[in-house]
Amino acid sequence: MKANTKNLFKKAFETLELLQQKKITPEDAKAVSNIVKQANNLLKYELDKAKAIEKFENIEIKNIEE
Amino acid sequence: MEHMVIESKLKNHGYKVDGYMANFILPTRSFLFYHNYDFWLITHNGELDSLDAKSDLIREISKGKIYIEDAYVIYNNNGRVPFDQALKEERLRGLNLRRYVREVNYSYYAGHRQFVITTNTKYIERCVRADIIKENYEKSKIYLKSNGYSCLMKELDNLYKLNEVISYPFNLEYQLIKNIETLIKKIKNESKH
Repeated sequence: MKANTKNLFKKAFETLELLQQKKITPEDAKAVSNIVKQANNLLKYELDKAKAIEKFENIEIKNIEE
Repeated sequence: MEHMVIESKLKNHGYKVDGYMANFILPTRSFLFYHNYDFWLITHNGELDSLDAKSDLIREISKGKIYIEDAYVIYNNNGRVPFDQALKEERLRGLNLRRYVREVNYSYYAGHRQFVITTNTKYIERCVRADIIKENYEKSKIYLKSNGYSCLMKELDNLYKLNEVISYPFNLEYQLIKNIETLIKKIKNESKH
């Protein structure tokens, strides 16, 4: 599975559904949600970076991170 | 693309179908329908000519209730709203995972009006699989062209348009990230109960 936003969204959606149907335990759901959250934060960072690069010309990555 | 051949009744009843007669038993009619994010090509020999027979087949395959509706209404209600915009609205309303929309399985004309046979599908799931629908549409196009079913291209385009999910990639990314955050919150809330 590629870690893109659509797949993460799908995974989170499926996990919530399985939890509501009580097919997985709350602990398992929490574990999955934590991983999804971390991956989502990375993708969010990438999106913000792309937005900053598009908005400001000649910006360096270290400037965004600082 | 799934290709389902409905064998002739003659064949099923044990008649000899070799030689010259075999030409008459080969499936001569065909139609397309959409199910489970894929397009199905059905070739038959007249058994599925009636709408009732087609409805029964769709009911059998989809294993759910089927509806017959006006194509115009479905086309305007069922996904003409871009996915990113719909996601935003859904999130603001609290992200209802049980929202169902109609999946168009088959379309036909009665008089000058176009009608469709539809079944229920989960809205979010359909949107998540929008890429698969597009991929299968491209594959089906190639299959139809290479197997001599070019006459069904218009039907394929029509079915794809009725089931298409529109989205604008850049906005979509942002909305998806926001919705994942909402889903994570929901999972954590559910886990507490």
